[in-house]
Amino acid sequence: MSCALRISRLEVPRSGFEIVRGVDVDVPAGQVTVLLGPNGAGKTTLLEAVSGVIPASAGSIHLDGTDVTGEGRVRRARRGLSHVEQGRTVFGDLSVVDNLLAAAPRPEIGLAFEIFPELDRFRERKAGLLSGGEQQMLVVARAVVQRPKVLLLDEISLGLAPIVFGRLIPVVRQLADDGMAVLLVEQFAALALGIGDNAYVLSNGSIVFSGPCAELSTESEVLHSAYLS
Amino acid sequence: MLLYRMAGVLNFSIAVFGAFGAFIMVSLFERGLPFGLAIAVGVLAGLALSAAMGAVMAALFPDTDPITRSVVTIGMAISLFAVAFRIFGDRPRSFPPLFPSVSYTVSGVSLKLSGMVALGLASVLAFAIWLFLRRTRIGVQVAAMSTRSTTAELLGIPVRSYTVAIWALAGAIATMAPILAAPTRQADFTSLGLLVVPALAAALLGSFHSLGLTVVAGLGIGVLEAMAVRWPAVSTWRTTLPFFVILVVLLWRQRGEVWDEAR
Amino acid sequence: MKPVELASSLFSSTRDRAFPLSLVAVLTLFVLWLPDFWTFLFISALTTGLIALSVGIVYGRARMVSLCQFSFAAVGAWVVGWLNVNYNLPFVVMILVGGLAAVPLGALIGLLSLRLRGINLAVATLGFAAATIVYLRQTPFPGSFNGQFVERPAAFSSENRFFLLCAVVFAAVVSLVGYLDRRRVGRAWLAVRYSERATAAVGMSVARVKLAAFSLGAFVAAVGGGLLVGQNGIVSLRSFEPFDSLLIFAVAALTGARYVDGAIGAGLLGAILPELFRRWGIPLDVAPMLFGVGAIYVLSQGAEGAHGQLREQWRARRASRGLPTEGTGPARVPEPAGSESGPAFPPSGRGGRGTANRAGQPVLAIGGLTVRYGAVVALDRVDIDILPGTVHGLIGPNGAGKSTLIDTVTGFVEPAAGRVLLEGSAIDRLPVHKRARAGVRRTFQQGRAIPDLTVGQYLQLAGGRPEEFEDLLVFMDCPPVDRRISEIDMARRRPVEVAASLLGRPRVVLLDEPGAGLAEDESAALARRIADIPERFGCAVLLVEHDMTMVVGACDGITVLDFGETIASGPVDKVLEDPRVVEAYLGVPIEGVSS
Repeated sequence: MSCALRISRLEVPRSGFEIVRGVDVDVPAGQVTVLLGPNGAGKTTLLEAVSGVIPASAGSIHLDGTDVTGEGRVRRARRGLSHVEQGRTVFGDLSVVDNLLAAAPRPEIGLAFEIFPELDRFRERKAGLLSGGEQQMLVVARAVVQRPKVLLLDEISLGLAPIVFGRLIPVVRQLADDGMAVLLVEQFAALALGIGDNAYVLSNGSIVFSGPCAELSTESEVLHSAYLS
Repeated sequence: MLLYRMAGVLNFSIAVFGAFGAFIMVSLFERGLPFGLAIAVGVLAGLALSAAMGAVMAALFPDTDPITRSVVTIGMAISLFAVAFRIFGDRPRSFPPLFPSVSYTVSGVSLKLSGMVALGLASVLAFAIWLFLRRTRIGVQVAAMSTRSTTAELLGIPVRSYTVAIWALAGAIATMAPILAAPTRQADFTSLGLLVVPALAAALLGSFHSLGLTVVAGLGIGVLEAMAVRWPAVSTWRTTLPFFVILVVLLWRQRGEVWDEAR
Repeated sequence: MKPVELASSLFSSTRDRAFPLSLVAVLTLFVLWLPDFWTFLFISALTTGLIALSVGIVYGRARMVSLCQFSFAAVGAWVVGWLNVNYNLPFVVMILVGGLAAVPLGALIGLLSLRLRGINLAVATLGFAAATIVYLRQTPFPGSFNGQFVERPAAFSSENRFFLLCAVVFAAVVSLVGYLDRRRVGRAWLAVRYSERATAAVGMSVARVKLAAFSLGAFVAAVGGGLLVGQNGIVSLRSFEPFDSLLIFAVAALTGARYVDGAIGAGLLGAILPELFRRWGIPLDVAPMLFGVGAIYVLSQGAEGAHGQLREQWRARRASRGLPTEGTGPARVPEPAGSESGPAFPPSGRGGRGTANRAGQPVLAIGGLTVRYGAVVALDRVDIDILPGTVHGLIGPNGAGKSTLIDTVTGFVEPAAGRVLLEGSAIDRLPVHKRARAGVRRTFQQGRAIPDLTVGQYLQLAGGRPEEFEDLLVFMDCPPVDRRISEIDMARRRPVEVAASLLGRPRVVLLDEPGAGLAEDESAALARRIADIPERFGCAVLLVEHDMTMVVGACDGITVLDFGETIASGPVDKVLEDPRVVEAYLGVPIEGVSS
């Protein structure tokens, strides 16, 4: 099985603390890999190190077999890595279409309105004026129109109505079925595990569980002890 | 202005880059270089200097907030002032006139040819930039990176290269400005460098959003200063007068900005 | 008082205990031992240090870029000169009057800061500096024609003694600043730089906080200017050029003039370095160049000046010993302690706030509230009554107007129609901070706890007394008082924000998604705590939340908004079964609510 993103023995410091300590994660193409863990476990830090927002102190990151550990964010993005940050990072002053154009040339952006038809009627509206759910859709769509090989999603459920999150989750599954490698970081374990293939649980900067999602129901011992530690 | 619009930072040092370029031009001209060549070298120098500073900014301050970046440009301005004193001294230089000093008198206000050329050039430039920003994908990307540079980088937008390019362009424009404007002002380095105050004020008036408005504002300030010269009671204040006018306008424009950010 | 003692009191009072006091003493003795020429330079260092300190107040604390601090110094100097010519006052009095004279001017510039921010303000202040120098060029310094120089007081005429005088003045000013730092206004300076809304929401007037910073900054700078006159007898205008204001700003940014030692460092750099350069044959203009480059370097390290940087490292080292990971909680208190043991905070005596007296009357009555943003109707005639002792939920899809409702009730948004009554009296006309003081507190969806403060300082900002903190933090399961908020992860800052909103005896708190980012079991625990708030604190709660576990766990009643309209309102189980609610918001029915 080809591994679109391979994280090996990764260590990431942040303001003096080792937040991520020797983490191994494999994200294969065509699958949704779920990353769970309590607050402060280092999930966001891990994603930021993978996309190059912050540097890693040790370990390696391979994209499609190429070592990208020393490369800048822009290079990694151009190699087909797309990182959807936490907190709906739309370009608020730009229209929906311009938000997409910033990511991909005009012929490519139609895909956004195929996966989220509800954005179609807001094409020219400033992204800052969209509702939270629409903004989150736009941010995901903006990443998808780049046709990335690897998609990192950081807590896209944050602050969303259940109905909106319920709308996003099948889209994520579909993207993986179309061949993308998806790494989904979530707080809502149940929903994420429902569509995921493999799962990892991060606690205090280390992986304490890895295996098929089915093994890791929300009631499982592992998850509970990780959250309560 | 250009920088703020494009790189999300207002630059205190840009007029200093311009003054630098202009002084290189004058020095070369005084040493007998042909005028045209001197201008070309001067503009290139302003461009290179500004690009270098842009590179510093892009390399050292990739994810910082606008206020910190502005403070950085203050630091740059101070350093460059010091360097300029070493190189050029504080002796006022006379700038060779770029255009014959012909004036036309229209309803009591005399307009210099150089002023009109400056106006024309400024308008053309502003329009060209506006067109570029509106019509091209690069324009969209530049607008995107000015609001969220980290996110822009994650989308593969080459933020650093763009930043350097924008600074370079701004440096070139800033060099041309004093070359055009110098004959109307005392031309020692400090006053040219501090041209930043009226220039920034003009940009403020345009509220950093409308390039067209900025050009109009810049011209308005120039005219106001020129008129104040003839009015003895205020003539000593002429350099500060526009500032107060601008302040009033600015406060009025910002009257709705009760809070520091939306929501 | 001897300067050494004063220095020690001042450093301990500004929580600088780590600063070796003996060093200060040795330094003072060293300066006194130096020949007059050098003592003179160290006097300059102190006056410059004062001006740097003023930058530290306006920029270092409140993060407002002010490029006219030397103009304030000029005012101080000018007034001292003028007083000297016209009145025969003791020197220290003249300095004081000079300082006070700059206060109205500082307040005036402060007024600008209410609307102009960031770089706009920087340009405006630089323009002011330019205007001041134009004015000063036309008005000669008082006494400069007829040689009426400002005389140092007889007791302090020698360089050594004048140095001591300056040191005492410096220490007094630092003590004043340190005192204010520990007051609410000092906490608020660090709060406005982060969020003006959050500052107003805890009941502090943003205008007053900013004006206070500018006024104090002007006072300190003007005192520095006054001392400068005393030092030299007469001052040249060249000392007050806009460029000097720029320069001191860069130096202050370089050394971190927010801290006392940073300000002293700035003074030393500004006054001593040029002289050293002169001796070593280095051209003088290298100094500003170094300052500029140094400031850029320090800023690139992302710290509050060189001194702040050292402090950060020290803090990190100390912290790494105590806590191994990113913002893990304190010793956990799994259940809210003593939720049955009655209110930990006795209800305030005035007006009989107890629910019995006013049974039936809503604490907060929102009637016909309508808000429009241009053509968009964000809220359309919304009515909500929040009864005493209850937690009322507010749910709805994103963009339904929930946050707008909170913004409107707390005064951030002007409604087009409708009214808001707090215990029967209208609060519609009050500004945000007055509503907060009247008893309407809120938290923010984005989480706006002030990162520069510790938990304890933040609670103090919110209007609490230290003796209340311990119980409150245990109740809300928050990190301890001395933890800095920037070291707590975003999700766990929200409970701290909730705790802060409970201080100052609110009648009702409006919580905007306090559970965002928390894991499921953490949300459940938070829900139990929120459910306990009315009984413990005697205040009602309006809870906006997406996490249905929390809503079901905490709320007594619930209102559902969609596109600004109320689509359902009533008891939790009834509302959540309403088919319109299921369709518009939930997507799937919530199971087991009614059981």
